[in-house]
Amino acid sequence: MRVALYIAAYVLPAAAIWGVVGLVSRLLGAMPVFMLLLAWVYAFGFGVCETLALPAQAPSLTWQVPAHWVEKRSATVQSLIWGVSLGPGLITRNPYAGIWLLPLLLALNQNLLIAAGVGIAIGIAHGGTRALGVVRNRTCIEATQAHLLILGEQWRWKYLDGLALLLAAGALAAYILSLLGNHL
Amino acid sequence: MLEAWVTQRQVRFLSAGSILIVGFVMTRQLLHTSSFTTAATIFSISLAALVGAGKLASP
Repeated sequence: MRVALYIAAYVLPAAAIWGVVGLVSRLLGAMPVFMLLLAWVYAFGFGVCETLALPAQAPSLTWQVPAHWVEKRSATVQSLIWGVSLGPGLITRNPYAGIWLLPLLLALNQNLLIAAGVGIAIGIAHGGTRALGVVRNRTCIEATQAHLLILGEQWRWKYLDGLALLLAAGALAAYILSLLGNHL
Repeated sequence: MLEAWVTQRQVRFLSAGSILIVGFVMTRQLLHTSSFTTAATIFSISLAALVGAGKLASP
């Protein structure tokens, strides 16, 4: 029950925030070809960097939850603060470039309602897996081992994220070419 | 052993090039039968899940 509530504390704010991101992205995506080109440049550039382990920093905010926000709070309030801050994956440090491709892809949806719906689904997926990761870390890893294990795993996830970005870059290139073919 | 193999420079180049081509060819085929936005939606949700799960490896 506590685990379910903890996961909900991540998923619900993430769904709400990504729903709004979906709406805003759709409003900004009035120029679909420009958004497609921007998405392709981003996916290709960071996909190459992450897959080949080139020294490029993914765009990310560096904000962290201040310690005094969670100190001397009940477990429920702490979970809510962590969930709202970490669930959406946008405002705290994120080493994976894939996260910022999502708003660009959201802009490609045909209407506001679909964009908001896809945004909510993205929020549920991100917040849910983020919370499950935290729960897994808490239950499986001793505190002394955690940092070493985490650092060891990060390169694997960056590699996978890079491959996902390159898959997207290939797909976007095919779609852009098909659109240009239709216009010519 | 697999990890050591994947970290080799030439394997990384090969996998990067291969996945780029796979994305291109799959989408060319997909455009005949389905819409790009449907595929982009499924991909976006999967990528969000991947990044969320990967954050457990974020210090």
